[in-house]
Amino acid sequence: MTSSVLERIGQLITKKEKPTPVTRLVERCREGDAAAFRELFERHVHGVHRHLSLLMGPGEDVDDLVQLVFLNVFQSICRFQGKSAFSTWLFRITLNVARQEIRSRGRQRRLNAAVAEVQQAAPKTLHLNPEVALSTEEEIYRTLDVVSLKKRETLILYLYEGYSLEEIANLLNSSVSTIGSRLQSGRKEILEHLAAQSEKKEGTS
Amino acid sequence: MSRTPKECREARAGLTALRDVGPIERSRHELHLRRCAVCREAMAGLRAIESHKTNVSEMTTAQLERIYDRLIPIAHEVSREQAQRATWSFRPSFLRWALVASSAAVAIAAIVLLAWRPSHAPFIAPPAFEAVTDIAETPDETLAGIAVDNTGYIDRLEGAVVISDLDDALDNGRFSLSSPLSIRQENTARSNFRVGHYARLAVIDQADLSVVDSSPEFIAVHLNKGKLAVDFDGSWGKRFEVHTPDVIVRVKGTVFTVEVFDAQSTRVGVVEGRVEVLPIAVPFSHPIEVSAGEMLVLPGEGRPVLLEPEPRALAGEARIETESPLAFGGRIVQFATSPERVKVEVDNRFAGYTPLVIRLPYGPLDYRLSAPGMEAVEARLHHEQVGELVEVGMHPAVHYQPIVARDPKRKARRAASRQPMEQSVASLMARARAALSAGDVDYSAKLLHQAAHDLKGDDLVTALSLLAECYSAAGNYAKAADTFDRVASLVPGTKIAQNSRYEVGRLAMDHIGDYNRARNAFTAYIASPFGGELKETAYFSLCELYGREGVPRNSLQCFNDFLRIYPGSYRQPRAQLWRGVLLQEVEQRWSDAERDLLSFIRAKPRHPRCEEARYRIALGRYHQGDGRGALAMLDEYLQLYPTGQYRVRVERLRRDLLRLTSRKTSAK
Repeated sequence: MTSSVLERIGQLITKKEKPTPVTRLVERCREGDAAAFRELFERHVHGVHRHLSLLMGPGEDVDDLVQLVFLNVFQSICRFQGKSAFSTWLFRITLNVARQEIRSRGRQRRLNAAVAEVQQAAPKTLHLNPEVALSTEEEIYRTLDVVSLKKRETLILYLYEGYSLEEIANLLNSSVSTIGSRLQSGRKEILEHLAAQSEKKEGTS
Repeated sequence: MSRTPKECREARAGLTALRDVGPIERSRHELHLRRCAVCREAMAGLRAIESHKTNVSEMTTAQLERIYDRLIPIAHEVSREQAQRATWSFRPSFLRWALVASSAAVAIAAIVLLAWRPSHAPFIAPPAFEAVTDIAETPDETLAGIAVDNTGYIDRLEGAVVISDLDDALDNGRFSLSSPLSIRQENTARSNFRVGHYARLAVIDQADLSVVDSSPEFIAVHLNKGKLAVDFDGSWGKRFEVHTPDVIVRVKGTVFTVEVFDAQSTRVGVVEGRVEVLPIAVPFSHPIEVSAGEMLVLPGEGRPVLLEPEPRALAGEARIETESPLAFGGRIVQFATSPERVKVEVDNRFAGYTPLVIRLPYGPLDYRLSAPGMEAVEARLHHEQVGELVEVGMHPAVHYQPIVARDPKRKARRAASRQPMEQSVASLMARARAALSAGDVDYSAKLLHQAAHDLKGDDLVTALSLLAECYSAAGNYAKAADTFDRVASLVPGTKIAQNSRYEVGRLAMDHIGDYNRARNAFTAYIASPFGGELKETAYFSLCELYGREGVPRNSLQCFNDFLRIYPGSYRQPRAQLWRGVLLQEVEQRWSDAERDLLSFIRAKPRHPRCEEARYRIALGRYHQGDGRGALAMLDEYLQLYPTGQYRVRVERLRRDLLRLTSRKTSAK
């Protein structure tokens, strides 16, 4: 199979255009060079911000998460062995931070439900408030929330970030067939969810 | 025209498949979409999601600076904490850098410390019904909370809560678990805490809780009285225990509740996962495992009692709002249950699944709540008053009896059964044909199956062929393929047998997913001396099959042969498309692939795959170093398919190409 186009472009840029390769910057960071860390930060912060914005959805303030990503980079740069590209490594950290945040939101909801059971009261579930008009983008991300975390991120990477199946498999350290299967079942679950909503609408009308 | 859920299911599966479905299957799905408004609307929604253009705002310089300025002090703090622990793994030079880089942070931290007046008195939360303190929303604190283990955070305090023994360790809602901590709260109070990123605790009502042990790997809290809900994520390799006067509850990763009553009895309920409860009040007792849905009651005296899973669903609220602007003379009613996704029917009409907000007219209404595995509940909703609450309990079903929908084929079945009820084979066949023409394939299959026992020779072959068609129409593809195989074995070397083989191949490939069986069937069909109009289709299917099996080289070879054997076939353009794709993927023969893809576009300019073909042509040109040609094709793509499925990739490739071109120009 062909190697990805973007990786080649990345290699071309790295080889020909950039005066300081990322590997050198990483080495300097390890040696305690603050300027190198700053440069690494400036070079990648926009990409991290974009990834997180797309993964988290609209209305989320991702600045804190961007900060957390670089804090993790700061903590673990010594463990970066250069087996994969720095951008891939950084992307995985970004993905982990996003996953953690999304899980954390889900866990808070679960805990609230447990509290409600102890109190023998109805859980304060998230009601659909018809008075609040949601933007299309919010609706889209809310629909994407119906699928599991792995399928959600695969769908976002494929649909909105434009990665190919091979690229996603490389980024998520998985096989192409797994990614394809996640994508297909994610699409199917979304379609089923939309159909259920549509049925609900038909029922109420 | 009517539609069946099965039809919908099949169409949805086919429409969301990544692989390219065959033309017959595609036309069937398209027909279904025309007939079924629900699927049509859902598909439109999916397409809207897939073609949505995300709008991500670029970071401003001020934003970037703000993040960097906040990052450095926290980084310094982290490195200091790690240095305190023996497990620090950075190189010594890194600390030097951290110290240099965070010198500004020290100044900021000093300012913050000067501005903050530490309270040495016990921390007293605001009284009940006042605004909830949500300290966790402070961005810096949230961040540090995620980053640093064994640091606790107060997320929420409601009612009278006293947190003592913290001294000056309490830093704007943040505290270290290494210092002793105890919480006492009064009735109706509630406090939420977070520990690192692996535990969330909610102390509810009148309670007395203290942290008795905390190390990086282990945390134990003692609940002397009250209620505690815990969500603990065991995947971080930590251990967590809740001690009460009677028991020790050990967890590995779960959501559970512990309640300690005044009579020194304890109740442990598990929502998710499992916990191990060790009764310490009973000598020589063994640990008791409590699973999700179960509740363990340890009375002050006597043996522990493990209760069966309790009915978990509560039709919590049916809240009515008449004042809502959306009421339009009726009332807005909210249905909420735990768990969600319970089906709600109002006056025998499907209303939706919970959580549900609907507008209902005035007057008493009967509603029904049902969920798989639960006894359905029927009740009356009077809701003449605003704020009326309806509470019902749902219990696990003793026997689940599905609601049988009205059978749309009953009429046809009755028509078939009106014929004389003779048990002769001829009669069975006649009735089977009548049922089949009425569209009742299930009944027809039953009769044919019955008739096949007594038939021989050509009649048996006819009956089995019809039976196989019935199975196929009813969606029982495995049985259909087996029956076709049986037909082929009954009359080997005939055209009927060959046609049956083709059917087996089609079913195995498209529905059963048994590619080996499909390949054998198609190969036998192609090699047969009979075969006719379907030979070409079988050849094309075989080529596709290799692709689906993940053998692209064989698929490429097969498409080459196909184009050679059937040069004027109406499948030629599609075969060229696939060959073009495979030439790119397998052999990187970009110019040959472009030739194939271009001829496909010329032959089928309105084909949906033209979009992919254009993208692939651009990709091929890029690989050949023809940046200008690639850009031209990408522009054409964007002009033709402004919301196409490859739009994001095309834009990315175009952006990168433009960047490369401008860099080359500037370098010159």
